[in-house]
Amino acid sequence: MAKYLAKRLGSALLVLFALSLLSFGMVRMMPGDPALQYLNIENPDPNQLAEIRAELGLDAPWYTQYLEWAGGVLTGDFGSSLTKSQEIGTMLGDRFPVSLQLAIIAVIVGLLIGLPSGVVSAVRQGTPLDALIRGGSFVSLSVPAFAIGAVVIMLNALTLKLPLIGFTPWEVSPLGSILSLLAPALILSLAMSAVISRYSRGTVLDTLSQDYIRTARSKGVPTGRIVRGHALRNALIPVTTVVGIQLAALIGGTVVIENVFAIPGMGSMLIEAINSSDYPTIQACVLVLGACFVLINLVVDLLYPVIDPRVRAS
Amino acid sequence: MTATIATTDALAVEDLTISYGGGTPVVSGVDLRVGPGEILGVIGESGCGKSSIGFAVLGLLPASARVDADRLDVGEHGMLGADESDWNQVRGRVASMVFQEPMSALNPCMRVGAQIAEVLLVHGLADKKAAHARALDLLRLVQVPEPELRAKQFPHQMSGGMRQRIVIAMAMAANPQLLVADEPTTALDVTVQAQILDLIDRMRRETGAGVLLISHDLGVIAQTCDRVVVMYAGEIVEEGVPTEVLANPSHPYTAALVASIPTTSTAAREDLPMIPGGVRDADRETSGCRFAARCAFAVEACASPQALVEVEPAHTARCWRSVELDLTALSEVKA
Repeated sequence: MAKYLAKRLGSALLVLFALSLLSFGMVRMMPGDPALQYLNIENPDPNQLAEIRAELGLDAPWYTQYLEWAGGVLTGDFGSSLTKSQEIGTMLGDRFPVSLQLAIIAVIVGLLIGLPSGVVSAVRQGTPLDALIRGGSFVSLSVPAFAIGAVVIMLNALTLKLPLIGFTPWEVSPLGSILSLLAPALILSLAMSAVISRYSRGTVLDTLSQDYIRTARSKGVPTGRIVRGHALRNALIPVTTVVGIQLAALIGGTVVIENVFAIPGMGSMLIEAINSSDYPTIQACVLVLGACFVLINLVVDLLYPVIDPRVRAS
Repeated sequence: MTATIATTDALAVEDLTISYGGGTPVVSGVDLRVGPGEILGVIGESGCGKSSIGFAVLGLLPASARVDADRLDVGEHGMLGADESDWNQVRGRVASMVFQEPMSALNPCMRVGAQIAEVLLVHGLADKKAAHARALDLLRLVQVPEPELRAKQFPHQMSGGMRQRIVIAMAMAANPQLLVADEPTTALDVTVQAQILDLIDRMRRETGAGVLLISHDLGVIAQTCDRVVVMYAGEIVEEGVPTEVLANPSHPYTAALVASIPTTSTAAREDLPMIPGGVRDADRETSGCRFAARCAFAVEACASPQALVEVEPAHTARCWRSVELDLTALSEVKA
């Protein structure tokens, strides 16, 4: 067990290190001169450019640059933006919680819809209800979130006129904050619930065909109790992984929906940074989003032994 | 609900026919009776329908299976036309089952103590505390060492033999009248096999439960059963006391089955007599003897319908030539 934990933790740290190298290197391979971008004038004086390169530390060898950057990141200093007069750390502090909040609400809604519908679909396999749920999840998966978002905003503007656009920070009003993200979270959770529904249907069906389910039936356990007491836990083990990946993907992958609903999250921050060749900001965003994947996968790995006693033993 | 009378048969089945998806019946016209405390063995090669019978008497066949019978009594419960909730009243309480694969028969995510206690909880036979206490008693009964520790463990922490003991403890939890054991020792080591058979034998002596023991292993049947039913292609071909049936087989299939047991004298593989061919679908559809196509003694008249006839008291065979054939010679080589 301790070995399992150490192994998971070790591999997570290793991936984080590789990730930092990758995000650092990737940005440096992008076209465009950050010093030029920084000056933002045509035909600048070469001396002035060199001066700025020195100021930004761009004249040092790459490993010196990397070490300086990595050292800063470890102390929470991501450097400052090239195009905005703001520390990147401060920007992340503003943007990241918004994206996280959006992703978490979307995942919760996705689980609330996806899990029960998947389980019902499996238990009622082959019935019209199963067909309805599968059809619904197929449609949800097929329609892109931004399209639904645009339609929702348009319909709302024509009919209910609810304040769907914009974001209320948590500090202003926690309830208002959740409500302000509800519409985009619901839209994001559509595809997510479809994925969870389809996946959990599969795992529940697989579990229900196992020998130990037949054993439970031979004991006289009624169907409902078999599903709740025997099938669900075994079926949920693989679903955990999918939910983890979905959560991580949502934190950075909500760019379009953030734009549609004017939400100041990580997605829009990254896009703005890329458009203005703001390489320290890009680097920081890529690193933070990647770290989310690593951390969430680590949490899922640590959850496994809690759910599955077989992992605990090995 | 009437009180259980000790003389009630554990199982009484008449004219049982099972088919899947409208196909040829895999079991046809089977009569079985298991008295209290009796072990009835069902033997036959793969595909003869013996496992289907085991599942049918517990209502565990898939929805695609069609089960017809004139009588299907489990204990004092007539189960003809029973629905799922009727079966749930009977399963685990009146009749229970031990499976072939102890490695997969237990829920990997549930402590074994809880899996045993669940039988009592589901049938409302005990509250939580009493059910867990009874689970410990049952673990002692099936000779699991350190029951307090084992009850808290998960199946993967135990050996196959230990898991089969757990399954037996679970099956015996509610003192059922009938225990169906479907190849309970096939997946186990030979040394453990004997222990599990002893355990089943002891259980029926102590609780008076009737046992339907399904096996393809003549040794297992001979060692454990009070009576044996030999099945071929979904039909009973011979029935009697094991010693009698095996020493003095009256159906050519039984004789061939006995002859094909390897002994120390069959040193080389080539010496081992085999039954040529296999069961074909056409064999299940013929009105005559279903074994005729593979039988060394088949004659033209074997194509006419065959009935189980008494060859000796309490020994029947479905072969019209059984009187004139001397099949002992065939099996004597092995005896």
